[in-house]
Amino acid sequence: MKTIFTKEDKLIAKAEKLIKSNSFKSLEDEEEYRALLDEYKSLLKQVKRIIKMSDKTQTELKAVSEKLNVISHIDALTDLYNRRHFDEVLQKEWHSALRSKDEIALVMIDIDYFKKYNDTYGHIQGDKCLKRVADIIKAYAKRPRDIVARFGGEEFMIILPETKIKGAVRVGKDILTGVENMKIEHSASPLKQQILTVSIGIASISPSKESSIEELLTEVDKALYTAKNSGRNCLRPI
Amino acid sequence: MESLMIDKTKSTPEINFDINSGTLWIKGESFPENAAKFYTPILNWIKEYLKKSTSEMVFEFEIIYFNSSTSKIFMTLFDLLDDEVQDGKKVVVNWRCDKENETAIECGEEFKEDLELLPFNILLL
Repeated sequence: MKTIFTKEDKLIAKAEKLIKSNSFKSLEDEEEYRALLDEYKSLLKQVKRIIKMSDKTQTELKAVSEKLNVISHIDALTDLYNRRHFDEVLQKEWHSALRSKDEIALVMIDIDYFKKYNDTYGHIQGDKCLKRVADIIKAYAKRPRDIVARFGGEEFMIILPETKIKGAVRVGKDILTGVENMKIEHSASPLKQQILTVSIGIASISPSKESSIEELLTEVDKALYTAKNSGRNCLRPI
Repeated sequence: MESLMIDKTKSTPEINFDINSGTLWIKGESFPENAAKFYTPILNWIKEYLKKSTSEMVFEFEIIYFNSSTSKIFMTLFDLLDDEVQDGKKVVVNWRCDKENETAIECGEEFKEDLELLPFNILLL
């Protein structure tokens, strides 16, 4: 099929053949037939143009919709996934782990004394700091299915599918040292080193019908609080 | 004859034809649920005006988005205007579009190609 108008083209060819065959009863009949055929051709041309325009518009709309879809899942400041995407993926991974009876781990990271950092260095510097921490986290959670998201203001969350607590702790430790090694000055930090640090909570679960996503989220939150209460710049698994 | 004015809605453009200036503006977006129902009174009004008036008529199209039914209506209108020009009427169409909006520009070119005598200007804003 060369065009989508094969049937129309055949019809025109047939009509033109009929005109050539000189089989009309009168000249008037032939002229009327010719006029009708011309009218048909011009209307067909219109239809072709409408389809062309419509295809163009649809292609453009599709591209815009794809772009919007990406934007709606990304946190503009850090370039990490946003909370909405996190919730969607966690839901999917939870059900997948339920079927495969695998474990799923969450790593929750919170920047220590971030409010003090903002108060001391200003919000623009604070934003830069968030971006740098985000980049470090992304660098250590890089398996294809790992998801790093900005969970709240200065809170980040990693979904590690098919991961036991031991594996998650390894990722957490890397991030802890990674942030420390950046040696970002934080003169308002009550911690001895006076550099920017993070606290990390870790939880893992093998989903069952008795457990829920909320439980896992509560657990990881508790783990983070334990890390905060243990002097910060540390990680605590549950 | 009175001037024709229709406020824009979410799916239909603003129509504003001031008989004193002879300029008809069609501005906004056009994807009415029933394009024939929306445009028939407008087309009738234009036909009526063309019958009565001898002065020049300028159509200013500033349409950001339009659906396929609307493009069919526009073609019908442009055909009609093309015939009017053949009969000696003075009619001009200005297809105004954002210089960044490639689709709108290309659609303007598509409309233009089918016309024989009607002056059809694509104006980039």
